[in-house]
Amino acid sequence: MMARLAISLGVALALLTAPRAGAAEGLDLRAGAWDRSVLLEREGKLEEARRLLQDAFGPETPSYEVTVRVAWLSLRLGDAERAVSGYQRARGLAGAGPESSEGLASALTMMGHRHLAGGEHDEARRAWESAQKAFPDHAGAREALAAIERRAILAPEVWGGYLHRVATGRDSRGWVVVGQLPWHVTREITLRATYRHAEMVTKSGYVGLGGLGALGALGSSTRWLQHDLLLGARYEGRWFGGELLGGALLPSQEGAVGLGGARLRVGRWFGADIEGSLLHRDAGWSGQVLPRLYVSPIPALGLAAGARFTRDGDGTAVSGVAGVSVFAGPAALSLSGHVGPERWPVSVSVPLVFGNGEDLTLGGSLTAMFRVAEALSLGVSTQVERFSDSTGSTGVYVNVSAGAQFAPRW
Amino acid sequence: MSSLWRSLLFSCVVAGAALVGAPAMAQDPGVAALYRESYRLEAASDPKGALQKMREIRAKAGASYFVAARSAWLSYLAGDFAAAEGGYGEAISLAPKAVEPRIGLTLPLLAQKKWRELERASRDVLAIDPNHGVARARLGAALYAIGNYPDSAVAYRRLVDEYPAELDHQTGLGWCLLRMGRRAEARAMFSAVLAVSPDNLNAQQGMAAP
Repeated sequence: MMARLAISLGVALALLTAPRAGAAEGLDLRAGAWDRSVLLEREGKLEEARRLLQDAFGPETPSYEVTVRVAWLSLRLGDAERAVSGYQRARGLAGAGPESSEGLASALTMMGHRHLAGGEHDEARRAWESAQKAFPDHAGAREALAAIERRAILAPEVWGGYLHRVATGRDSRGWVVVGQLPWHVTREITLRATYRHAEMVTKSGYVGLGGLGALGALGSSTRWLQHDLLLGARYEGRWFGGELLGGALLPSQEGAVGLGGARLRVGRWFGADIEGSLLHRDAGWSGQVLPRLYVSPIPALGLAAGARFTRDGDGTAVSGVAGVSVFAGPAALSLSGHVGPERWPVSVSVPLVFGNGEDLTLGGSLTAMFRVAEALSLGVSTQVERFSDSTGSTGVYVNVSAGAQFAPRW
Repeated sequence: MSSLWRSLLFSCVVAGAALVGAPAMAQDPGVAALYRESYRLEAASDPKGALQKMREIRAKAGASYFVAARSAWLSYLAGDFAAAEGGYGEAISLAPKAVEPRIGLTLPLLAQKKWRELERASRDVLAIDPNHGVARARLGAALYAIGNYPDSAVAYRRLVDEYPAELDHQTGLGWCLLRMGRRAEARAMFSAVLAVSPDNLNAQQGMAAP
């Protein structure tokens, strides 16, 4: 009985004095953990080095040194998000030193480059600006910001197309070439020049106005041509943008047409923009206003709708306009259309003047672009318009074009 | 007759209870003299002699918390760290809520470089008194010794903030920073110590460390 009592007491004593298994294991993990982590890093086993410290000290350790080291290892592993969160936490801990701010700047710079590679330019800029705030002398962030601010890009594009115009008793065919040279002075500011040359020949045997307004000769082919030269300056900020456009159209059937236009945008993922333009022709002044609302519910989709108001010597015309743009990886698709009469419709944002003289009563365009290389995109575009001219004839105008755009990423 | 026997029996019981239950206090002139002698020998830097007197007190008056704690302290002074460890353990069992014997236990553990045990003993003190400065310092030392530099630095950092004139805390933090690669900060700490204590060996060794 005494022996049994002694055994029971012994067991009870052991239970009383044994350490709590969980707490002891946790503390034991930390003994020598720092040195083992450093050794693993020297052997190139960065993930093991990081995991060892995380397992030993947990995510909420009050140790500045462990927090910075885990952030450093995350940076070396390319894990920018965890590096950023680690360095941010470290900066608020007792014993924080300048390395936590510098590390944070490095991690944010890495994150910025990731955003840039994904085409997220605004996010990239924000990351680099945050990096500069954290550590103003960080060379990587400073250089990245300077590069996107300073880099001036010429981004030429050229389009060539086939024109076909069919009206009652008339058939006209021709071609068009458009060249545009945008100069992206900064990310926000662009200057550009646009030249367009169009020619159409109306087949002999047709009477009346041939081509796009060219005077026809009975039973003969007539040739119509037009040169357009437009110069523009644009500013596109995060929340607002604007553009000025000026130029001249030189149609063969009348004197030079002077053109001036402007555009103003307010908003980012949703907002409004308005375009206005004035043309001066032999027949007099023509003015247009095109207010629109737009929304981009997801980054891959843009929607816009508005109305064009035209006033000239022929009276007032109103048309409803709408458009949709879809972006999917390297591809972009843009569809727009109008219902209602438009005369000399001007697009400040493209920039181009569509049609020439007739009432375009119904129509639209479809453009598809595909990025085939780092800086090269190819596209196809088609435009179909129903029109009625001054003689009352109605017809259909078709334009099918293909083009190439050199557009390097920022 | 029976009442007389009852009175006598009662008196014997009372006397017996007094003898068994009473602590070895000053009521016994012999024990009081032993205490006096023990204090005198300790003051004369003879901890072994003082400890012997405590053993005699234990034999005469039995074990008590005070006897156990003082005996443990004298054993430590005498260099008998194992006995000191055992004595403080006995004192802890006699006064389980007391901080005093637990902090006393850290002394022989520190002397014997029993770092894991020292860590546990220090945490036991802090479980009762979370702000105990001595326990936190001993914990910092134990953590450093077992290679847990980060937690040691956390402990020392707080001690440096709270006891800025205590140079041992500064050198303790300096060594932690040195082990974790923060050489510039470590040397700054050692320099600050040497500025006010030029012969501080710990700081000198820290400055000379590779």
